[in-house]
Amino acid sequence: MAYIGVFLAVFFDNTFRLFAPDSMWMQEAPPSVMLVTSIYIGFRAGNTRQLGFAVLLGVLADCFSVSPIGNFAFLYGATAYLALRIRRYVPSDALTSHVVASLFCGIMYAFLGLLIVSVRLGGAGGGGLSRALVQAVMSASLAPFVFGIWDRTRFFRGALRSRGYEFA
Amino acid sequence: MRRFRRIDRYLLVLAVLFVIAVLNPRNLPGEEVLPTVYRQLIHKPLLAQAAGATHREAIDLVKLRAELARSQHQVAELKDQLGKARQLAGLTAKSTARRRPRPIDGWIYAVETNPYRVGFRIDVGQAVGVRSGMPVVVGSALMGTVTSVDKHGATVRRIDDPTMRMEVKVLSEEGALAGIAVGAGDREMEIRLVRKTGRVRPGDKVFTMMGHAIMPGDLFVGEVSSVEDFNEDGVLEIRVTPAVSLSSWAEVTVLDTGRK
Repeated sequence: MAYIGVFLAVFFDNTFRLFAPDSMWMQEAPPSVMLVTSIYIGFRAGNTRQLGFAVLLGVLADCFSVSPIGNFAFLYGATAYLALRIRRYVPSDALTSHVVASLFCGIMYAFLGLLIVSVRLGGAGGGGLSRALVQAVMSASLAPFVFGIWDRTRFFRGALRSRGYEFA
Repeated sequence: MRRFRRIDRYLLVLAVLFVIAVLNPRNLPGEEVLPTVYRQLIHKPLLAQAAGATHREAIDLVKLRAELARSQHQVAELKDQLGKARQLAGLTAKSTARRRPRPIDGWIYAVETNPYRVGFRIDVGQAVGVRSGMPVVVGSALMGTVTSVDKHGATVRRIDDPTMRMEVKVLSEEGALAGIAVGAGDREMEIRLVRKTGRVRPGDKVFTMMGHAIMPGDLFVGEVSSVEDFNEDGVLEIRVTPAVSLSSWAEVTVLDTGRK
């Protein structure tokens, strides 16, 4: 079931990008279902092996990307790992906690992306960082819905064996 | 202790992925499956909706379009071989006339996910003659260039991508000024290195330069939106707004000039 969840996240994310409203930020930095799903996987994973779903999500995201293979596999894998490490500091499973934690992970994701682009191309021009940060904010606002959907549809329940907060 | 060992192993995996992301120049070989998936799931219903056709008719339409593109590619290749054979036989001198570029229609099936890059993927590839470097247009306006090609799909870098560099000319009232356009992100391009020999005004038209084998000249790039000389060194910083709305097009055309 978790594999279906991963495929659905990729499919919805890409289809949303294709048909997103023609406004500046919805086209250039739309909220990313895949980013929030990788954070969800980090929050709900019982151990680091289960973070492999985030890496799989990243490999599929690479297929829809102009960037080379490994870019999103690394970014989503690292974001999920970060979510797994910070969740012990998140006070509760409330919606605001999801938003704040997702915002933090999203900002780290933006800077990790900048790191890759800087190493590959020697810098990121064209307002890339501002777009990535706006995307982090918009994705964080999407977090309560994505967390709620994945919790209720139970796609990841069998594969991710932790509720999240007992992991130390 | 075991947990730490497992975490270290995961970090090792991340380190390997980072190295791959930094060093690997190519996209996934399995990407060519996705254009077919999107053609089946998204483009056919869209076509049917647009044409007021039934789903069955839309399927036939997509098949016919694909068949037409393959046939056009074969015809172009046969013409090329015929021309070479004629040259070998000494029947004709090498033609210097400009050939009309062959259009290859394709659909955008994925928009770039990475906020640091600007581009998209289209569902036509080597099978219908798409090659790296070819221009992608909407009407007669340039939208981007093909950067890598699979059998059934291609990656396109949009003209406002920060890594985009292309020779252009600005048509002002005092004639054409040459320069190099650089992608500035956020749906804009910037032209530098245009010497202050003529006056460029907002509203002047920008076109591609002739001379590049695979890129035809005189493709409409956009309009000058602002002209500044920030450093007062005689080098103008010209901002160009692309001619096409870069995000709202689902169908684009790849131009095959027949040259390599």
